Amino acid sequence: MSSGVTSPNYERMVRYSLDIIGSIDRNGLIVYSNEACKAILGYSSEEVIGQHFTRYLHPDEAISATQAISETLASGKKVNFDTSFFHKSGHVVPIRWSGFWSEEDGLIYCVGRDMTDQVEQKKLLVEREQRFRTLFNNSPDLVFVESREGVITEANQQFLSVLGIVGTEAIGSPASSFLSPPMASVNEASLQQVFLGKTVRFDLVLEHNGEKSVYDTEKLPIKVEGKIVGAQTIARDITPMLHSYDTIQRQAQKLNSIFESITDAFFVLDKDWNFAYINSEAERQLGLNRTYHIGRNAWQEFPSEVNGDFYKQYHRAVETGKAVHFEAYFAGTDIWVEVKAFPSNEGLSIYFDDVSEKVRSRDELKKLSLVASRTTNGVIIMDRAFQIEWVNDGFTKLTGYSLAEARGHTPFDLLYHPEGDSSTIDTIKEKMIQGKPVSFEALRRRKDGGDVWMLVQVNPVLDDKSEVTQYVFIQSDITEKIKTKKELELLSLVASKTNNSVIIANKDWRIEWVNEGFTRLLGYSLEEAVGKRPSEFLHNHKTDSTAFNSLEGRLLQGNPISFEVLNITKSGEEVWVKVDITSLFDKKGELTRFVEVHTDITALKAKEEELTQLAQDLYRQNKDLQQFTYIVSHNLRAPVASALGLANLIPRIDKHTVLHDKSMVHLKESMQRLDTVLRDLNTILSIRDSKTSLEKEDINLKLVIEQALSSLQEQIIKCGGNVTVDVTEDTFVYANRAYMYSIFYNLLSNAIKYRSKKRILEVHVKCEGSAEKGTLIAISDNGSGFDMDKVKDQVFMLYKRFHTDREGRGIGLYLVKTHIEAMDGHIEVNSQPDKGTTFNIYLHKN
Amino acid sequence: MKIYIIDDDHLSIFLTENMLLLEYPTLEIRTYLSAHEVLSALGTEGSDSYPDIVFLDLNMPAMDGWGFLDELKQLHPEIKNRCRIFVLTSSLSLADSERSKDYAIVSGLIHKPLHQLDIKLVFQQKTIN
Repeated sequence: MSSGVTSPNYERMVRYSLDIIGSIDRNGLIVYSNEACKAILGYSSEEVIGQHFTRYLHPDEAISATQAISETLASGKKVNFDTSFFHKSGHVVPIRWSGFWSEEDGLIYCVGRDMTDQVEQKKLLVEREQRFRTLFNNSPDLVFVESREGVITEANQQFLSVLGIVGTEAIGSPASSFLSPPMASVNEASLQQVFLGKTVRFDLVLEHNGEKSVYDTEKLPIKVEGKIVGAQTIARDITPMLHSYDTIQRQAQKLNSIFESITDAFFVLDKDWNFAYINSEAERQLGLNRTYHIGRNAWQEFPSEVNGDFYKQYHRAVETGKAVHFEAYFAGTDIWVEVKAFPSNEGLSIYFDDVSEKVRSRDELKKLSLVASRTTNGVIIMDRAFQIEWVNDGFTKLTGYSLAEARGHTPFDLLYHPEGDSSTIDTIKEKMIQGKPVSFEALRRRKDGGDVWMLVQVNPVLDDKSEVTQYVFIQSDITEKIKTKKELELLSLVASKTNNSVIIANKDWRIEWVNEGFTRLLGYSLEEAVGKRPSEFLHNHKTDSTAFNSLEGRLLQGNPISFEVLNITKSGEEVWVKVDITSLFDKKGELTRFVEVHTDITALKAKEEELTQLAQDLYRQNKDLQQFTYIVSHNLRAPVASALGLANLIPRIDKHTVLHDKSMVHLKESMQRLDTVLRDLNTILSIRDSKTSLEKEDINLKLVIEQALSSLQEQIIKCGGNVTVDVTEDTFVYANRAYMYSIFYNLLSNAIKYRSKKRILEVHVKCEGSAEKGTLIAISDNGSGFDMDKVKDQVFMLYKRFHTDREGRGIGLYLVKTHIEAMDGHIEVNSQPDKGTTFNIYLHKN
Repeated sequence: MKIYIIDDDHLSIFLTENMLLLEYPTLEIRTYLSAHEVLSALGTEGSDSYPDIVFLDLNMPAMDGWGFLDELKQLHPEIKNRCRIFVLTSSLSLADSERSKDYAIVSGLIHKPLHQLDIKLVFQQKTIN
């Protein structure tokens, strides 16, 4: 630097130097300073020149600076020292001074360098070093540095304490010497990798005081300027983590095995109702499949359960945060399950237990106990010694004994009835002891002394070894049944032994049974009657079924009916019976049977007919009497009254008048009429009297008619009428000749008398019938006729006339009827006004 | 005074008519042989032909006296106030006289033959009324 440099150059160099270049005198007054002092300390050179340098010096360093100056003053040698100067703004600026005393100049030349940056950097470095060191030493991880040879060059406190060694032992020793052989080899292999530039991670297992610790270890190269100078190893203790992981694993395993081993079905639903866990029992019971169902939504998988019991209960659990416990039916696998569901933050844990059997048996038990307590039957539970342990209400009702009264007794003693068959009881006891179910009927005595017939069913209760432990009696009251049965026995006795004929027929009137009375009355045996309808074989043409037909409706409605009917026996005899029919219905109200009871009333009926005949006779005679009264009061008296009147009149009139003559004629007529009536009466009475001793003979009918016609010949010719007689020559009737003549004479005479004026008279006489059934003679005309409705009853009455314009006494038809009836015949009339009249005469064969 | 005699027996009519004429020669007497004839006469002639007194026989063919009374009541109810009817019958039956009381229109029952005393009573009754 000295060569080539001129002095003006020095000056310039000094002036622009970054360092302060200056000089002080012996006393320390500043003689010169370049411009750097402005940059470093804020003072210009003019400001500092002439000032004592200590003015800017930090007071703490005044002594050391003075010493350094004294030193150079004494030795003349260059001294270096660091001082702190105050900047013009007040902060401290570290400055390194270099100075030397020049005797010749009497000045100390000084060069001061601003050390601010260096000092700061150094400070930072120290701090960082300190920090790293602290970190290094206080790190919870094991940290050590190895050389290429595997020798530890640094190791932190944790390393030492874990290995239980001190720093001096570690430093300079190979790391392998502190490791187990397997670990040592792992470490060495790793070290080699690191020196190849790689970072290696491995688990380091250290044993200390018998405890194994696992460290997650990373070994990485330390590079200085690209060159690997060592290997740093950081090992973190992960033993607790491993432990907890282990624990978790173990616990999960444990839980799993718990879940698997519990007999309950168990599954977990997460917050979104997805299956999160399903144990194998749940798979089995609920038909779930872990691999399929886990992760799937329960309600989507089991849509039919939505809004069902499970749905509601689970939602309740989730909403309330409280566990639910319920029983429900799961249709999926047809089981009853008891469910406990525990809500948690994760969802629902659900335990299922198949209680189908329990539910079923509970239901069964419920039903059974209901049956046992509510049944109207008596139920007794006895121990092996037949002593009553329990009875139900039905028993109390049946026997009158309460449970308290019955307990401890045997039912055999308690309900003992002297008329009960004790030998039967012994047999029953024997069978019971053998464990056989048995049933018997017995007469028992109630508490109140009343009799009760019971049907008892005995069921022994057996244990596993088929030993009898208990007996159950079920008693039903059959008193009514027995009574009914006895009644029935009596009734059937009555039905079979009664004199009445009894028929039981099905609803179609087919006979199912008849009694002996039926056979006695009608001649048909049971075998002959069964299957037939009564109407098929018991009726003939005379049987009048109108009575039954009119009553049938009532019968079908369930009312018993009763009527009289003519039946025909097997041998053809007519039997009048009174019939009582009762219809039988089943519980549903449907007709099942008829019971028909016949009472023979033939004798009664004959009597009745006799009586009717008598009544009819009496009636007729009474009517005759009435007629006679009438005849006497009217017809007999009329001419008498006329005669009397005329007799009264005649004396009062002049004999020589026409009126007088007329009156005399009328008087005569009156007397003639009186005579006629008397003759009529005589005729009638004679006919009536002759009734019993009437002369009858076979009369040729045609001949008689012709005789009557010849008597009327003149009148017939006069009116131009025509009479046809349709009767064969050989028709004979057994009758009285005079009556027959009178009958035809009167009827034909009437036909002529009451002929129609509008047309020519036609009379037709016709004979029908045979000698067997009797004779029917019809006499029809086309005359004026009459209104049947008006005069029906009076046609044949004496002195009844229906025509005012024709002569007539009103005796003709009366005589006809009287004659016919005197011959046990019968006459009917049929007429229509202005059409004609027909008389039908029936005469018996004998 | 208008008198009707209804009787099927011409002999009885002759007697009644002449007995009446003997007592009251000026009577206007009509005679009918059947009840039908009277009804048809009343029907065609109307209320002008209503008689003052009727002598009615009971025992007649076709329509007897009772039948006539029934018909009259039906066909000419107003005749009741204009005319008196006497049953004139040969019957002595009590039943007839009892029955005649059932008919308000019947003023009395006379047994044939009609006597002058009866006639007097009939006409006196009339004058009294």
